[in-house]
Amino acid sequence: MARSIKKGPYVEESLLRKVRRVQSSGDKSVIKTWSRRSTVTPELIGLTFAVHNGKKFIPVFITENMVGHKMGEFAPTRTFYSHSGDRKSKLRK
Amino acid sequence: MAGLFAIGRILKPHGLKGCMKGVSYLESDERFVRIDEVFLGEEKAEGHPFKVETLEIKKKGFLLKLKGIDDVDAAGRWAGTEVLAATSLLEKLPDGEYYWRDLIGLHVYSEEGKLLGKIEAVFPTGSNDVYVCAGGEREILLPAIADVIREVDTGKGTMIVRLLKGL
Repeated sequence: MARSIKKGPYVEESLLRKVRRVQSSGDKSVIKTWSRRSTVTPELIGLTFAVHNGKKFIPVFITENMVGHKMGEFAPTRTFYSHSGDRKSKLRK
Repeated sequence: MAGLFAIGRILKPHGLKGCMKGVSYLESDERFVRIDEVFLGEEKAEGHPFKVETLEIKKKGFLLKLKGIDDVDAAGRWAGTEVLAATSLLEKLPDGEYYWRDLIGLHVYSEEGKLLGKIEAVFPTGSNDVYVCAGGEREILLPAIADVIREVDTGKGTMIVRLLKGL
């Protein structure tokens, strides 16, 4: 069953505290988090998080189209290195 | 051989007439349509050139028939080898976009000029790609964002990065 709209999206309190600290200081440091269950909310857009995957912290830059998803969705827990082939990588601005 | 890149790998012979079943490394199979010559061998070694007779795209790979390979025994000898194609098939990318094959192996330096390691692998996360920089003091996972990746010079084989606090 889906989460009640009345409650709003779940974001770990400690993560919000870290976000507010970084936003008030204005620097672009990476916010380390273990909270994979936290939802990406619009106030996190533009920040870079290091989301724990059980072993390492995966750096994830938050963009608009990630809102509503959980942090853990962007930090894969299983390593799969595919062949490079013609795969491309684009730098996000 | 320089100028070649792996597009797939031969798995096993298919049928009795020298056809081979393979698995593709390409993101989309559109590029296959334009290929009329392939090389069989390892990416770093010299490949054997072959003209493509037929190339059929299947759900989980491709069926390849090459000129000069006309029976099942000849096809079987190439099982496990990589299928290479000329890099001229790859289109030029706009600024800020790079092929994984160009990124892997780049030496990573900080803005202060300190060598941090080498790009060992690239993996996607659903958001930004992540470059695995290893071989230095510690393994660093670099997000593919402009704030971190300051300069990429595939010609010189270097990448200059700005390590954000906490990386």
